[in-house]
Amino acid sequence: MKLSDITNVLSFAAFRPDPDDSSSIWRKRFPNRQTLLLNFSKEEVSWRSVSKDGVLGEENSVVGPVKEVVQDMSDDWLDLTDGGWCAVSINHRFVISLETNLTRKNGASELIRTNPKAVLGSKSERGKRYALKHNAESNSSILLAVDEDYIKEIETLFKSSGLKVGRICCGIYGMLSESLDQITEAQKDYNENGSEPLGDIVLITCCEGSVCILKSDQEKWIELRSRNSLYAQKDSEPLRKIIAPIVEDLGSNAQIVLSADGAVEGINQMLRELAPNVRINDMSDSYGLWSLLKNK
Amino acid sequence: MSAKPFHDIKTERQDITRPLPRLLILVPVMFCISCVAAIALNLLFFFKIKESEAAKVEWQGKIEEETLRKSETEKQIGLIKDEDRRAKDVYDWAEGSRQIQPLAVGVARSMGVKSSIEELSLVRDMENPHQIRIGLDFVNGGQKQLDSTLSAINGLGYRAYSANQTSGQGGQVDYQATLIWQKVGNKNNNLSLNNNE
Repeated sequence: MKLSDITNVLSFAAFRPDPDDSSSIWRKRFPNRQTLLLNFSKEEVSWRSVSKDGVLGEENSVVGPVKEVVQDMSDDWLDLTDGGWCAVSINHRFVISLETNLTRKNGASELIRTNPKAVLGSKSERGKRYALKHNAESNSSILLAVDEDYIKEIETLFKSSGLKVGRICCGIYGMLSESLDQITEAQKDYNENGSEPLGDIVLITCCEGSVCILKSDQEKWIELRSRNSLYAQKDSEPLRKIIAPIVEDLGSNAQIVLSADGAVEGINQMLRELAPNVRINDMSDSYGLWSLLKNK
Repeated sequence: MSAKPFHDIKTERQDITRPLPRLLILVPVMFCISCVAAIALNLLFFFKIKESEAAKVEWQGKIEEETLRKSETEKQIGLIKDEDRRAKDVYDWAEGSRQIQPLAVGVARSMGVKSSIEELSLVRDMENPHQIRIGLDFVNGGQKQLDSTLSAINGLGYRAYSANQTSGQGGQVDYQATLIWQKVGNKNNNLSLNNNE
């Protein structure tokens, strides 16, 4: 037994999750400690600090490649943390796809991190990291794939700057996943209350220039479109082009669920123009990326 | 918001340990309680020791004070005893140094018509003033006169001890004895009566 083991028990640290323990939520891993939340896209890095009380600080952003921004800002970021711990959300070099008939055996979500071939079979590719979200009502699943080299590059970059990465995630995938959980909860409530079914739902998730659109018929996921670094804050035309074909033919019983970060100005207006008869349910404020990173 | 943790795609560390069971939190809690209790008890004992040391010093002062008072009292008792002894001596002396004159008068008056005193000595012992050495030489009267004189001496409250009597030629009697005052109250009255006569 090491001395550190004893001090960990006496300081109650042994009863808290390890800072690197991805199976625990962020605020349980860092109680009473300052941490930093970072969100990357291809051309921009934004960040917010989390105080000891768990309060989010002001959002800041710098335009530039990730590597340069990290090297320039690492000293400032270290001052915002206790021990240099940060969570990194990447919105670049990822692929989100809709898959069917993937294995759903127990522990598959954890197994995919260490042995993706055991879960994905022939769909697994070398040099990729995966995350998986199943639809409980059908055989479809949403699969996130990120280049392993890119993740390792980020880990090395942060380590060399004195920062410790407690989590690397794909922000847009996390927002999509959380929105789906909320929709599932809402559908359960509708079913329990005997109300009419929710109908067709188009879930639009936007984060740092990336977009992911999931179209579902009742509880089945039927179409998913995902693009990296598609739009900029001042130029949302590419976003319109990708959303328009999906929402234009929606019936009046359908609804659009929107989960977008603050970078997309006027998206609500754009959706009203594209689908004037469709109800838009905007859950961006409640389930934004920063609150998800902080609370989950 | 669901309580399920966010997905994580970073390189998994192999040496991550799971948190210990919540029940075992009793171990550090008890340790902390023990530490606090130990500190509290130590502080308590520290202050009690300080208090007892102060009380000890105070009581030692009191003991010294009382010892001083005791020695002063003993000194005073000694002085009082000395005074008492001296008072007793004075009393004894006063008791013993009664006037010899009534005794001389009593002896003289006890002499018959034919008897005459040749020599009478009354000597008071310096150390025992209540003892009087009597030496009486008289002629004529013999034993009868001596008895009469001794009776008169007894009447004055004295008793004769260590008597020594010798009879010489011509009816001379030499009598020597030690007279000790008998504390009989009414004898003084007789003397007073004699004095009055």
